[in-house]
Amino acid sequence: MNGTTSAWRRWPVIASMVILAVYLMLALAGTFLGDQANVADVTRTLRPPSAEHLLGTDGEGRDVLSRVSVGAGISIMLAAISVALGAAGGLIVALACGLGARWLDRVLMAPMNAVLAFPQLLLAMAIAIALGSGLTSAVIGIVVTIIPVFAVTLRGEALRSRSEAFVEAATTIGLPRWRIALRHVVPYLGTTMTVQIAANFGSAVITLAALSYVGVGARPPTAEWGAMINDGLQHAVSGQWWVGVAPGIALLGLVIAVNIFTDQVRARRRPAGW
Amino acid sequence: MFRDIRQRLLASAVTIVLASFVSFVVLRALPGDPARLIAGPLAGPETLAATRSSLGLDRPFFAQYGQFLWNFVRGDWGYSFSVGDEVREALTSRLTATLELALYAFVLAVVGALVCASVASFRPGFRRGLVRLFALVGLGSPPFWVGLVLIVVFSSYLGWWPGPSGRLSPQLYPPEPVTGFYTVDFALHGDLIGVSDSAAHLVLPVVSLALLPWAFLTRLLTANMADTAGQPYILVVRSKGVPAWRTHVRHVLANSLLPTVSSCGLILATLITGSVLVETVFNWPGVGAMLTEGISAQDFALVQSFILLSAILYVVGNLVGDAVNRMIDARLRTPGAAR
Amino acid sequence: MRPRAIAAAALAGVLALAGCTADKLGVTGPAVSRGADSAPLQVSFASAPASLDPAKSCTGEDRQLLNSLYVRLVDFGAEPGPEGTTQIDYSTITPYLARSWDASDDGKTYTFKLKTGWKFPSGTPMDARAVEFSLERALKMNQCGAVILHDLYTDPPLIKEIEAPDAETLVIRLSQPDPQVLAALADTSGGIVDPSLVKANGGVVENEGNAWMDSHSAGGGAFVLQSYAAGASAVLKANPDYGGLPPASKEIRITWVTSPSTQLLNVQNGTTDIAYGLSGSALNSLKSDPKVRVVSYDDTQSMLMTLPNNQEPWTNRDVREAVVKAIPTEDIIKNVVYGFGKAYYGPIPPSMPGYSEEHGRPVATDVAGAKALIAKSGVRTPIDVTLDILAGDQNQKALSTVIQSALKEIGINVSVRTLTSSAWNDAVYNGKSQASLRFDGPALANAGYYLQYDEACSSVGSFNTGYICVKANTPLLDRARGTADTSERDELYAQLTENWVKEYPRVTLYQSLTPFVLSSSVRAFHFSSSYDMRTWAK
Repeated sequence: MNGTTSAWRRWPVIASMVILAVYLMLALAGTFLGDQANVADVTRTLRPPSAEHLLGTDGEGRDVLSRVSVGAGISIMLAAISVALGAAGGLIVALACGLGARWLDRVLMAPMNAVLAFPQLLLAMAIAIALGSGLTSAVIGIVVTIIPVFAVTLRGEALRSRSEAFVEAATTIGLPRWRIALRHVVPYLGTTMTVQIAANFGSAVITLAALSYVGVGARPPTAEWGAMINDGLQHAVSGQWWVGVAPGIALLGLVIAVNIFTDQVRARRRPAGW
Repeated sequence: MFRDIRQRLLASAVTIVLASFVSFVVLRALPGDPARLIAGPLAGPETLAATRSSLGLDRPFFAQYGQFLWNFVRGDWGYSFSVGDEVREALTSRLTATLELALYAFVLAVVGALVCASVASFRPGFRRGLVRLFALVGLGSPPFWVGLVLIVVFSSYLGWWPGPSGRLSPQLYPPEPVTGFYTVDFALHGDLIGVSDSAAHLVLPVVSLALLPWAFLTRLLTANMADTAGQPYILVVRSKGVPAWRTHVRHVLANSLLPTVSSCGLILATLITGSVLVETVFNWPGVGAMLTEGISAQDFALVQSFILLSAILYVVGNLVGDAVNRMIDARLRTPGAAR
Repeated sequence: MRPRAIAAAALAGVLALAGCTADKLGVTGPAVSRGADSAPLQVSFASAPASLDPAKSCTGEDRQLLNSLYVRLVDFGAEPGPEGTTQIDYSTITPYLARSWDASDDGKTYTFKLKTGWKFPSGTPMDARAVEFSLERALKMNQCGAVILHDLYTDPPLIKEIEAPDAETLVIRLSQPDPQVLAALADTSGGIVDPSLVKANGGVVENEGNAWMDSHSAGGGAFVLQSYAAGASAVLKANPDYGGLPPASKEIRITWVTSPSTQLLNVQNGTTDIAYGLSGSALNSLKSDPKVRVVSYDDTQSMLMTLPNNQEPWTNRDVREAVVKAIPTEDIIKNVVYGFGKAYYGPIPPSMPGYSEEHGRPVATDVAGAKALIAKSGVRTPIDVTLDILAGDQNQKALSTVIQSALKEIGINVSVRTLTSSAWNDAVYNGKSQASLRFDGPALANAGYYLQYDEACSSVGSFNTGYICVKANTPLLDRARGTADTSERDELYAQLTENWVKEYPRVTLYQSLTPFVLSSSVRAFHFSSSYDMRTWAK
C-alpha cells in the first residue's frame, strides 16, 4: 500500500480479519461439540430461538447454533483443502504448459478446456455421485473443477514469465528447466496464485454447500451448511425460518469476509483496483 | 490469420469431443443399475436383460460411445426414461424455459453491472461504498439460498410477486409456442395479462440467478474503469472541456469493456449452472431439475446429450467472445499474438 | 450502445409491468376467473410418473393418471371416508366395462360379459377384442403390469389364456384357482388400450416397454390427455366419447411440484385445490388454516426399515429384536411425521384385511431391554451398520437421523448412505444393501399378494428385499392365498403373524395415514391409492 493509506482505507481488512477470527473460534467450538450436535431429540423439535437454544432447534430437535458452528469447521477446512489441492494441481499443469514443449502444452490444455466446457456444478455432482456421496467425494469433485481454473490463469502468467529478463537470463546460463520453474517462475506466479486462491476459496465454500444442498455432499447427519439450508427449505414457508436462514447467513458472512480479504490482497498488488 | 482460425476451430472440436467423452465415462461410473430402475422392482431376469439390451448397455464401451456420437450428429438423441419422452423433445421443451430465465438474468446482470460500475467508479464516496458492499454480498450468496429468502420475503410475507409456481399462474394457459419464451409469445399474441403474469413469475428467479454474475461483472468493470480513469488520455479528453460524466461514459466505460465482453461466455456458463439450483427452488420447469433427476437416475441419453450441447454452447460462446474482442481491439488482430 | 439500451429499456418495461399488474392479477389470491363452473380443478403431486403406460405402472407415481385415462374390466367399490369424502373399498369388486362375470366351479375359468357401445376417441370399438389385446400386450411386455396381472404367480404364470369368442364375451383361463384375479384386473395394470393407436406407435415388443406409451394416452377413460409435459404438468379434459358416467370435473390440471415448500405455498395462496405429497411439518402448519382441510386416509403403504436377514449382524435374531425395541416408533410418529402414521408390528398393516389385532400390536420401546438383548446376542459392540436412504427424501433423512441416535444407545453405529434413485434401486432390489429405509406398499391391497412378494421364502432374492423367510409360514400363506373363505383366511393370517413377530424380521416404523390437502372449495373427493379422479370436483 502506498503512503496515502489511511485508517479509513484499512478498516475493511481489519473487519474481515475480525470476522474470520470469529469464524475460526466458532469452528473451534464446533470441534469440541463434535458428535453431540448430531444427536436427534424428537421431544424438542422446531423450537424457536430462545435463551436455551439461541438459534432454535431443527426438525430433529438439534440445536441450530451448535450445528452452525460445527458446519463452520467443516466448510473452512474442506474449502481450504479443495483450493489447496486445486491450486497445486493447476500450478503443476501451468508450469508444464508454460515452460514445457509446445506439444505438451497442447496435450495438457485439451482436457483442461474440456473440463471448463462442462457446467461446473453438474460435473462436480456427477463425480461426487460416482465416488459415492460423501464429503470426500464432494471435495474431489470440486478439485477436478478448480484445477483448470488455476491452470488457465497461471499458464498465461507462466508464458509471460518466459519473456521476463530474469528467466531469460537463467535460461542463457543453462540452468535446468525444473530449477528455473521452482526458483524463478513459481515466485513470479506467487501474487496471482494468492489472489486466485482467496477468490476460489469463497466459491469452493459455496460449491460445497451447493453439492450438499442437492444431496450429493455431506451425508446425514453431518452438520454441513448446504445440507442444513436444504433441511431448512421445507420449514421456511411453514414459519420455522431459523432452520434455513441461520446457516445461510453464516455462509454469506464467511464468503463476504474472505472476499473483502481477497480484495485487499489484490489492492496491495494493484493499488488502483478494488 | 486463417491458420490461426483453423487452429482455434480444431482446438474447439477437440474440446467438445473430450467433454462428451468425459461425460460418457463419468455417467457410466455412477453407481446403480438403470435397467433395474426402469424395469421396476418386480421385473424378472428376462425383462432386465431386454431392458439392458434396448439401452445398448450390453455392447462394448467404445461401440456405445461411437453410436452415441453418430446418433447425436444425425439428430437422434435417444430416449430419456426418467422423463418418459424423447431427449430432443424433453430438452427443447424445457430448454426454452431455462433460456428465458437465463437470458433475462443475463440482460439484468449486464445492464445492472454497466450502470452500477459507472456510478461506482465515477468518484469515491457513499455510492461507491454501497455498490461495493452489494457486490460483495452478491458474490457471497449461494443462489439457492437467495431464492429461498426472496420467496419468504417478497412472496410469502409481502406478496408482491408470485412465489415458486413455475412460469405462469395455474389458471392461465401457456401461449401457442412461437419462440418458446412466454413473455415474447404472449406479446406476439397481444395477450397483456399473459405478458404481465409470465413477467411477474420471472422477477424473483431472475433476480436470484442474476445476482452472482451481476456482482462479478460489477467488480470486474469497476476495477477496469478505475484503471482506465487514471490513464493519461482520459486526462487529455477532460482537459479538452468534455464534461466529467460524459467523459466517464463515452471514454472510460467504452475503453474498459473488453474484459467484460470476453467474460460473457463464462457468465453464460455460470447462469446455466446457477439455473440448476434456482430452478429447483422456484419449481421452474427448465432443464435444471430434469438434469439433477437425470443424473440421479443414470439417464445416460439425457445427461450426455445435454452436456454435449452445453459444451458446444460454451465453445461457440468463447469463439464469438474472441471474435468480438478482435473486432473491438485492433491489437489482438496481429497474427501470432495469441499462442 | 444502442441495442443494449433498447434491451435495458425493454427489460425495465417488462419488470415494471410485472410489478404493477401483479396485484391486479391477484397472484396471491384466487385469481383470474374464467367463469366459476369452467375453472379447472388444480391438482399438485410431489413426484411425477416415469411412464403413463398401464402395462408398466410400477410405482405409486406411475399410477397417478392411469385410472382417469383408462377403462378397466372391473373396478373396486367405494365406501364413505372421513369428512364427507369417499374412499376405495378393496373388498368389493364392481362392474366397469364388464357388466357381469362368472367363475367356473374349479375357480380356473372366468367369463366376462361386456357392455356394448363403448369406444375409444379414435372410433375403435372398446370390445372384448380390445380387452384381449390389452391384457395380452401387458403380459407379453413382461413389465410390472404383467407381474401384477399374474397376481405374482410366476411359475407357472397365473393367466394361461385369454379369449374373445365374440365382441361381448371375454374368457380368462387360469393355471390355478385365484379369487384375487379380479382385484388384479381392477388394478391400473388392467387398463384397456386402443389397439389401433398402439399398433401405429411401435406395437408390442416382447419383454420391452413402449416409449410412445410412456408419454401418451391410448385410453378411452373418463378423461383424455389434452397436454402432457413429462415431469412438469398435464391437462386432463373430460372425454365426450366416454361410455360411463361423465366425470365430475370438465378439466383437471395436474402439476408436479418437486419442492415441498412450493407445494405448501401454492396451497396457502389458493392456487392448488388438491395436493398430495407435502411433508409432515408442512401439513402440521396447515392444520390451523381455515382455507384448507387436511384429510388423511388409512393407506396400505408402510415405512419400513429392512434388515436383510441373510446379512450380518441381522442373522442374529436377538440383534434384530434389540433394534426393533430400541427405535422409538411412538415418538417418531408423533414428532417426525406429525401423527400421519399408525403404529403396528407385523407383516400385515392394520388397513389390510387379514391384520391381526392380537398379534400385530406395536412393540413398546424398551431401551434397557434392547441393551440386554445385545449383550445376550453375543455380538461384539460397537456394531457398524450402513443404512441406505433415498437422496432428496426429507422424511427418510429425518427418520435416519433419529434411528441413528436411537441405535447408538445400544451400541450400533449407523452410518447413513444417501443414494441416488438408480443406486438405491440397485442396492435394495439387487440385494446389495445392509439396511434400508423403504416406503412401500403392495400394488394390490391384499395380504396374499403383499406377503407373496415381501415375505415368502420363495421370493427371497427376487422381490423379498428383507430376505425374510419364516419357514412355518410357507404352507399357511399358500393356503390363505387359495381360499375364498374370509374367516379361514383371517385365521391363517393371524397364525402367520404370530410366527412372524417372534422372529423380529424387520423394523416396522408405521403404516401411512396418507394425507391429502383439500381446499375448502373442493366438493367431492375420492381416495384410492391409484388416484382415480373421476369424481374429484370443486
